[in-house]
Amino acid sequence: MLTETQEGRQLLAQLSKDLVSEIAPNELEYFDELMSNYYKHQPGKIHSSDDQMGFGGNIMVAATPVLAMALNGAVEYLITEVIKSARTESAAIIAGKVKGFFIQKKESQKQELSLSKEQLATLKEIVKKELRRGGMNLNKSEDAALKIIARLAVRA
Amino acid sequence: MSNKHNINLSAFPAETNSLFAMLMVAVVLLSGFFGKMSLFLYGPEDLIRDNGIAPLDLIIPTTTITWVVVFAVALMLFFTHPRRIRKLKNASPITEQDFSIRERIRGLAQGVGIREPRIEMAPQGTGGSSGQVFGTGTPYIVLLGDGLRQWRKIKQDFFDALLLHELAHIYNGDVWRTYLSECLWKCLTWLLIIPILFYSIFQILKFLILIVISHEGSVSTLLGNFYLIAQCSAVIGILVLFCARLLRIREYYADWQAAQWGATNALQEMLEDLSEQQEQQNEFRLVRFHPSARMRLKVLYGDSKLIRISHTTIFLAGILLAFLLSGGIEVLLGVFISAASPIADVGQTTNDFGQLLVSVIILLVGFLILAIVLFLAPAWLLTGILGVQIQKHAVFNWVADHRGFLSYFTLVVPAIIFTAGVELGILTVPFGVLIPQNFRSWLVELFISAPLLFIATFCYFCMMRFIALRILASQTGWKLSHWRNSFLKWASNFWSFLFLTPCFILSRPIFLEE
Repeated sequence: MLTETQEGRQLLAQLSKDLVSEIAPNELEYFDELMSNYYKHQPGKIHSSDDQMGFGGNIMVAATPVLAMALNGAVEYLITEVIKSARTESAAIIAGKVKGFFIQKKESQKQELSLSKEQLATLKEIVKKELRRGGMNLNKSEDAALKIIARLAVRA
Repeated sequence: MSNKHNINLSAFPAETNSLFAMLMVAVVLLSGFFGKMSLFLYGPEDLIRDNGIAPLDLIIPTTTITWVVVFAVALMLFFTHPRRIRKLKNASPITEQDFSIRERIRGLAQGVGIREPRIEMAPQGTGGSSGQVFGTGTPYIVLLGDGLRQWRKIKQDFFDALLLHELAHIYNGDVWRTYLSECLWKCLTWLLIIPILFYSIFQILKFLILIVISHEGSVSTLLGNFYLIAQCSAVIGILVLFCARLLRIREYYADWQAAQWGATNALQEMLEDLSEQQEQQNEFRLVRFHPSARMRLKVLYGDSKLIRISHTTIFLAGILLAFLLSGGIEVLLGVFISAASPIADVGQTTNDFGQLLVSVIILLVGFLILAIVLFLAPAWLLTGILGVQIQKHAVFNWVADHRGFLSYFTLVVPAIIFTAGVELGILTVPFGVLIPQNFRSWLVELFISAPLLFIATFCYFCMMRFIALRILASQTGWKLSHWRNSFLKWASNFWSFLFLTPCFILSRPIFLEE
């Protein structure tokens, strides 16, 4: 799990912050607090609540933990894909490659980071599913998933 | 914006208050009745005298003890429900760390004019964004998901809207009504109906064993027990659905009230998110305490659901009236007849004028009590429910320009629905004395009692519509004036007291045949 190591958390925070600044800028001020909450209680599926004299349901509290959860899913998928294509390479190289998907690399390295259309489509579905699971509404999750995929497509 | 959006819902009293009251009265009267029947079911066989009247010295203590027990257990459950909810949700009071939340809630409560509730939080991680209000009013407790700490910082409008929704429940007086009525019907179910259910199952098993062992047993007893099981299940089902329905209506009112306090935009946004979530989850639940978010949104967007006549409410009022009178007639009439017989005997045999006068006064007082409980209480409750429904109908048709003599015929449908509710209620009360006992009674019920009740209801509806149109058409201003409101209420009370409820009772086959 990416969130179990310090390096993983750093990577996730770095990727999430970038995305939060674009999708939910009002949460940037509380980014560290929200991420620390996310590590403590990872948002699962939002459960419907029908308590009498209640509001009648749970709504997504903040976008930051949900985006982090979706990115976590995306990174795990990418790791699997990289492992598939380069079983012999060391873990450090793999981590570097995964990071490379999101962060701009030199022209010479671009070739080895490419993802096929099918892989991008699968990745988009994974991201979207995670965002929906975290309680993000359909339009926002579609928008956020596209933004994540667009970054990958441009950078890879 | 069309005219209907200008109608202010607070011009109408919330008829659900009357439904709650009716539910409680019906449950209490049914409890006494079932208590008495339990004595006959489980007690010695020689309890009923030859003339079919149970002895007074048995009815009064049994009924009283049942009422006391049901009330005591219900009150105990009511006063301990905060502890149960806290335990279930693992809730604890907020600390100084959440000072800003407390301050905000204090401000909102003062702003809407209610006593500041106590705030507790339930740990739900980052996903809990719901609230719940409970308690006995000393003060009420608002339970928040701890995700709301984040809302307080990043989504202030959502935080306020959710709190205003919960405060609206307190403001509308929903909280104690909800939990007390829940405790009452649960007590009735667990203490009286479930044992009768088990008794019937036991009787069926006994019958089957007898058939196997000695080839003896009456099929009518078997059918009778199956009917009893169906009745018990129906009463439980009706009570549960009834409470859920009531709560759903109160949710519309809470949303509407919160919107009046300025939370419209945030509520709409929250409900849109919730609606999408519900459509995605598509969960099936037999009983829901909240309407779907889509329906709530419709009401917030100005759908006239709350100001249209509700056939379900009318149907439920019919069922409750039947429960109330089925429970009341047997117990109260039994007590009155049992108590009146010896007094009347004394009156007939004595030559002493003083003694005669005392007997007459006692009988009159007894009759007055009987009339108040059997006629006036249902009349008052029906006014609070049916009267308001007809006012809504009148105003809605008036705004939609449906006027004239023919528009009165649209009241035929609600009158039929009310009659159907009453008939269903009569049939579902276990051991109900109003259930037709033979073929002749069924004919009387179908061709005399039900049509008479329908005519009385239809006439009542027409009268209420006529008066409501005259009174409301001349109304100006934000709220219905005091005298107009009182006139409507008393006109309805008198009609209901003098015609509708007596017609219901006296048209029953049991009275017609006698």
